[in-house]
Amino acid sequence: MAAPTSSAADSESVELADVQGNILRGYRKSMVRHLIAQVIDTRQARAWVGATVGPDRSIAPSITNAAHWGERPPDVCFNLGITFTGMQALGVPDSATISFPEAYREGMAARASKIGDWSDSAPEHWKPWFQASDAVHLILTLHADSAALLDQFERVMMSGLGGQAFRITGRNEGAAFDGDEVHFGYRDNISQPRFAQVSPPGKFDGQPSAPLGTVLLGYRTALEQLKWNLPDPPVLGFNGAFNAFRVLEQDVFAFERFLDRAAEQLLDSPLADSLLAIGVEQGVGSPSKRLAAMREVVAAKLLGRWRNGTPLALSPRDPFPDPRVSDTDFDYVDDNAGSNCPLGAHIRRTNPRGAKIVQRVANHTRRLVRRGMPYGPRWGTTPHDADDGVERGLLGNFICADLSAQFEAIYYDWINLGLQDPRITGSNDPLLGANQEDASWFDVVTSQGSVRLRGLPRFVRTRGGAYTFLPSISALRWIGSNEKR
Amino acid sequence: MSSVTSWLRQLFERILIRVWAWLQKTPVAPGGPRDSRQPTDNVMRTMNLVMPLKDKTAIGRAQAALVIGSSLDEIYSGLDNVGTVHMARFTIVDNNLLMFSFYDGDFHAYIRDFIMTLGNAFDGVVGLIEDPPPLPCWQHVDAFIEWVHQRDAFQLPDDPGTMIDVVAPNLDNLEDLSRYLVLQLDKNRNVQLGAYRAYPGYSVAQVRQRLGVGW
Amino acid sequence: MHHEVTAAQMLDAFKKDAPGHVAETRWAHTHGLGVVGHFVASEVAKEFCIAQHFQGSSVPVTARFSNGSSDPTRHDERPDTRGLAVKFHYADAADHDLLSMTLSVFGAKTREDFLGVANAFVPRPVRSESWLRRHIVDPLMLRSPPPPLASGVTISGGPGLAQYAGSHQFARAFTIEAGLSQVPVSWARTAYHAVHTFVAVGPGSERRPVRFSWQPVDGVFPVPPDEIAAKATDFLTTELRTRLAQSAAQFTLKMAIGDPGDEVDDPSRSWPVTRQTINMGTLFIDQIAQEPHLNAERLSFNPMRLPAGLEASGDEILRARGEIYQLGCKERRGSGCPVLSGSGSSR
Repeated sequence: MAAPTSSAADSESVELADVQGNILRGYRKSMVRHLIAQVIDTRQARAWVGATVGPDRSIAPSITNAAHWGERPPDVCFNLGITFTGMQALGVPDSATISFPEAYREGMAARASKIGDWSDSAPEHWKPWFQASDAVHLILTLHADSAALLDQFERVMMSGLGGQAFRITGRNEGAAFDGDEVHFGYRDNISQPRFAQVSPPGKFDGQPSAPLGTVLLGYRTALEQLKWNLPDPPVLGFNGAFNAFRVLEQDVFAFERFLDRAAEQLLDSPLADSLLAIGVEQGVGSPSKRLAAMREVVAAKLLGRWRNGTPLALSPRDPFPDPRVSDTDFDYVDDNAGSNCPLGAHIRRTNPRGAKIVQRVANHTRRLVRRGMPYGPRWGTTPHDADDGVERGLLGNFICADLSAQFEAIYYDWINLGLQDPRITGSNDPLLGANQEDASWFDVVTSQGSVRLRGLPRFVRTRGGAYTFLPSISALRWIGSNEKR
Repeated sequence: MSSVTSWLRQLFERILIRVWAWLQKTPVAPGGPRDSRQPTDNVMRTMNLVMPLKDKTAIGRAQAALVIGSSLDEIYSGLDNVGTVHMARFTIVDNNLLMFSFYDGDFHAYIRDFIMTLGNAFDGVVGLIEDPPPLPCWQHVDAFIEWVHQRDAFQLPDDPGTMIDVVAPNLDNLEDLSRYLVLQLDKNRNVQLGAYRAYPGYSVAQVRQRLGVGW
Repeated sequence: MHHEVTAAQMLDAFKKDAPGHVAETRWAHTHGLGVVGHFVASEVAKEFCIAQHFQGSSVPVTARFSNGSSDPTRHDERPDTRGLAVKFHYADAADHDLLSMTLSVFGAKTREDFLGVANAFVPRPVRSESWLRRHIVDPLMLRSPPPPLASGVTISGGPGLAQYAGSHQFARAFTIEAGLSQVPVSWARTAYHAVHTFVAVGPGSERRPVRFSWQPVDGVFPVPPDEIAAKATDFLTTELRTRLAQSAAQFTLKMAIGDPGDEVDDPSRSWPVTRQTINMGTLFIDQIAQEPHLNAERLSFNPMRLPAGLEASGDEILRARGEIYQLGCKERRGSGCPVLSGSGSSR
C-alpha cells in the first residue's frame, strides 16, 4: 500500500498568489453562482481574460487568488474555469493545447460511459447549456454571501468588455441552508486533503498530509516520483488544476423512503440490537424511537458517517459519542470486515485511506478536493413532506491534477463496479452509484452476521457538467497576452 | 503457375480494396473493449497490445527477448500489485511484441498503475518499438496510456447484432456486410475475434478470495 | 394505443410460411423424434433456483428433437434450425417444458415485428442470380454471396427474409445465424438455446434474469460438406437410434445470469459471453420414446409451462408463443394443450 512520502513533498513551496482561490483552501461564503459562458469574440475574450489578472478594474473584475486575505475577504470571490474548447475559442494555439490530457480534450459529455452518465443521467438529458461537448467554453464562478452582491458583480462585469467577449448561456446557483448541511441531511465538507503549505498547524490530525501535486500541476504527486506533464509552454499549466464541475440532482424523497424500508428490514433482522445504540435496543425505546434511530443507522451505513458528521470508524453505534471523537482522524485498518464502516459506504469507497484494497498502489493516489454547495430549497419544509417535484441537489467541484487518474478512476472502478474489494464487486455506491432498483444491493455487516439491503434506486442524477481547467494567475496572463497567433 | 495466379489475384484484391476505401469512407473503430455499464462486461476484459519492433531481424527479436526476459520478475510483481490483472502473456510473433492480457475495470487505471509500479523496467522494452512514446514512460503517463490504447487491437463483437452496430451502422443490405467488414479490417489490421472464459463474470480478487489463496 | 396483435393473427401469418401443411401436424418443427431420459441437477443448481428439477434428485423427462422446417417432405440432410423440447415430469406437480433451438435469438421483439418477419419469410420461387451478378458484380462490390440453398430447393423464404433483415435491425442477428445453419451429424451433436429470458427465483427469494442453453457433452459436429449428399432424408432418426443403443446422449444445462441493464425482454438480441454462467445439471437422453405409450407427435410442449421457481420475463414473444402454441395444439388435437396455471406458470 503506497503512502505518500510526506517530508519531501511537504517541503515544496508554492506561491499562493499565483494559484486561483478555492482550490487549496475553501471559501466560507454562503452562496455561489456559476455562469456558463460561450466566447463570442476571440480577441475581446482574450483581452478580457488578461484583464482579470491585470491592474485595471474598469475592464474586468479581479480573479481571487489563494493568498491569505488578511483583514477583509473580498465581497465576491471570482474564479474562472476554461474547457478545452474554451481554450481553443480563446485562441490558445494547438501546439499548446495538444499536450493536455485526453479526458480534458474530449470533454465531460464525451466521457459519459466512464462516469456513470447513462440513462437518466446521460448528456441528452442535461440542462441545455451543457449538452454538446463543445457548448461550454468558460465557467465563471462567483462566491458571495448575498444575491444582491452576486447580481451587482455580474451586472458590472457584463456591462464592460465582458459583455462583448462572451455570452452567458446558463446559470447554476446554489446556497447553503444550514452551515455545511446538504440535501439528504448530511454534514458535508468534513474531510479534505490537507496541504502542509496551506493549512495552519492546528488543523492537522494524525492522517498523512497530501502533496500539492494532488491538485496542482507541476508538483510531486502521491504517485512516487511522478509529476504530471505540463503543456508547452509550462506557464500555461503550472499551478493550475483540473475541475470536474457537476450538477447533481438529488432525489431526497426516494432517499427518505428508502431509509424507511431499509430501517424496517433491519429492525426485523437479527442484527437489530447490535446496530442500535445503547438505550434504544429491544424493550427500551418506543417503536417510533427505534424506527427513527434505525433510519439514522441506515443513513450512516450508506455514507460512512452519521448525518451529524461523526465517523462510523470511530463511533459505529452512537452519533453522539462521549467523549467526542475527531471528525477526520480515523482509518479503516482495523475494520477489515466492514462492521464499523461498511466496505461499500460512500466515503470508504471514494477514499479508502489505509484499508486493504485490490489496487495496492492506489490508497492515497486518487484523492480529490471537493468544493460543493447545495442548490434548491430544502426538502421537508412543506407540510406534506411528499415528492414536491422541485429540483434540488449539489453543485459539485471535484478538483484534481489529472481527471483520468483521479476523478474518472474513482468513478469507473470504485463508485460503480466496486472493484477495490471482492466483497462489494458487482455493486455500486449506494448514494452516488448508477444503481438500478431491481439489481442493486448493499451489505450491512456486524459481528452477528450480515444483512443485504436491496432495491436502492439511483438517488443522484447528473444534470450537467464540464471538465474545466483552473489556470494559474500567470497562465491567465499568458492566455490573455499572446498576440502572435 | 498457381502461385502466380494467387499473387495476381491478391494484387487485384488490394487494388479493389483501395478503390473501395476511397469510395466508402470508414472511420477507424477504436481498439480495446467497448465501455459498458454492465458489471460482468467490466471484469475479465481483454487487451491485445501489438507493438511492432524497430529492428526487424533476429537480432532485434533477440534484444526484445533479452529485455523482457531479464525483467520478468519486475513485470510479474508489477502486475501483481496492479491487482486487477488475471493473466498477461508476452509473445513475439514475426516482428511484433505482443502483450495479451485479461484485466478488470478501467483500462486507463490498469495501464497507469502498471507503468507506475514497473518504474523503468518497461522503458527498455518500449525503446525497441517503432514510434515509441515519450521516454521515460512513467514520467509521461497520460501519453503512454494513449500510446498503448492506439496499439490495443480492435475487438470484433461476438454476436452479429452488435457486430453490425459497430462495423456497419448504416447497413441496409445484409450482403454488403462483408464489404464493411473488409474496409474496417483494412483500417484495423489487428483484430480480436473472440475470447473464451471458463468462469466469466468474476474479478481477480473475487477468484482469489473464493479459492482461498488470499487477495 | 394500437390494437394488440392476437395469437390467432400471428399463427395465421405463420401458416403462410408453411405451404403444403398436412393436417394435425405441427406448423413448424414438423418432423421430429420423441425420446425419454432423465435430468440430474448439479450441486449448485438449488442455490440459484427453487424449481423442483434443480433440487438434486433425478427427474424423468420426455423430449422431442426436431427439424425447424415446415416442409411436409422430410429433409434431414438440408441445413435447418433444429429443436429440442424437454418436458420435465414432476412427481406431484404439473410438468415443466423447456423449448430450445439451434439459433440463439428470435427475429422479433414485438408482435408487430413478428408479423413483419413472418410475412417476409413466405416461401417464394427462388430467382437464381445471373452469372454476371454472382461472378463479376458481387465480388467487385465486395459482397458475400447469400447462403447457398440446398440442391433441389426451388421455393424458399430465405431470400425474402434476408432482404427484410437488411432494413430491419431486429431481424438481423436471427437472419445471419439462420444463414449459418449447418447439418449436424446427430441431433445430439449440436447446441440448443432457449432464447427467452426467464426469472429464476432463488432460495432466499432472490430473482435473477436467466437464459438457458443445452451444450452437447460430445461437442458440436457438423457434417462435412462433401458427405451431405450421401445422407438419407431421415438420417438423424436412424443415427439417434444407433447412438442411444450404445449409450445415453448427454447435454449440460448452462444458465447465464443477466446483468443489471441487460435487455431482458428482447429475444432478438443475445447476451454477451461475459455473463456469469452456471452449470445447472446434465440431461441424459436414454432411449427412443416407445409408441403407443408415448406419442411425441401428439404431445404438446409450451414455453409458458413453467414451474414454481421460474417465471416469464416481460418478453412479448415468449408470452405470444405460449398462446400460439396452445392454439396450434388445439387445432391439431394434441394432448396436454391447456397450459395449467399452477403456481408459477403462464404468468
